[in-house]
Amino acid sequence: MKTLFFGNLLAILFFFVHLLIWKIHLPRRQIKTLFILVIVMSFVAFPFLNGSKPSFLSTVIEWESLKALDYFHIYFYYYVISLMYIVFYGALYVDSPSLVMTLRVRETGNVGLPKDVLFKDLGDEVLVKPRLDDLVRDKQAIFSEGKYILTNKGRIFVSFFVFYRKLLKASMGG
Amino acid sequence: MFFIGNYSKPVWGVEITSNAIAVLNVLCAVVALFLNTVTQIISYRTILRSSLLKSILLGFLVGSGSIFLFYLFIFSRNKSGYVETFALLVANEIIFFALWYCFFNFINMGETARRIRIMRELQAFPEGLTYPEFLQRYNAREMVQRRLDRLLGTGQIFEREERLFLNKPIVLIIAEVVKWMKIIVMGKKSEFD
Repeated sequence: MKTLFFGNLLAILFFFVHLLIWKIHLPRRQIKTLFILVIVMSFVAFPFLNGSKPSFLSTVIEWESLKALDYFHIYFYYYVISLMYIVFYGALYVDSPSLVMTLRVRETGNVGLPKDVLFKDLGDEVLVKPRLDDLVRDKQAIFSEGKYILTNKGRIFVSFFVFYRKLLKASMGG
Repeated sequence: MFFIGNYSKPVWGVEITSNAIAVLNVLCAVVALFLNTVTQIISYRTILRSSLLKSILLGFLVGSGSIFLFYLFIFSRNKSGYVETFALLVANEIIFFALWYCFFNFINMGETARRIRIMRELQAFPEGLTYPEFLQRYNAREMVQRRLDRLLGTGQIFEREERLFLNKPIVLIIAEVVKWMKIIVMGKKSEFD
């Protein structure tokens, strides 16, 4: 019960602080800011966790003070939930071409969307250039002398995906 | 930590201490994720070659089921602590689901993400690629065609006389949810707004 109660409380607090910050100013590096916020919130919450004993929960179960494994479990719960949200946020941050295509088809209703319109509207400047710029912004690639070159950070990041695709014996995706 | 139960008798000839159970209680979601991963890899390479999604779902069932079986075992040893047992089952299933969601997205990114494909293309050329050189290898036309093939193949949309129409609503529902979440969290519908 302690894990559920404190873990969810921490996660909800993180979400509200995140929304508040985003309403004041949208950070340039949003994913990095979310990671920093998760860590900061865990330190801020620690003094409040220590010695907490919600009286309404004490009527349901016998409430002992938190032990080391309890802290570990609560923080593990909070970090994993936050990580799940950050991964989900990645989907919000970038327009998914499949979802954009589906919404475009829906807008045409019974008339239907001509295929060539789709290819024309979703060109390289919409689908490719912004992703290359993201790599440079996130320092996973550099743009030098007119060329895009993967950095060591980018190489390490992509190596996990390459390794797993090899384990699955799967082709190059995209 | 809460008392797990009576382990004075060995289980299948193995002595189990309360400390061991307490640690497993905290880490069972990680063990479940490992079982999930092994199941997904083996099933995709053997019996479920044609469906990555089915192998991912099978892995999820194995992982989630293992946590459930673990707590069924705990409950059988300590019926009086059923409230705490149930709370821990729920907490660990949530942890496993969150870990599985990250795992699912990791596989999905490897399969469909533009960023990963772009990085793989650049990885093959350590000296780098110019923008036109890159587009010869991977471009918007291929991106759209792959996704169109996927949407048509899964029946989300269908084609008639060179025009596209909606069929199943699943991807549309996801698209609407994501659209509204973007508006709530980021205050805009698109990254280009």
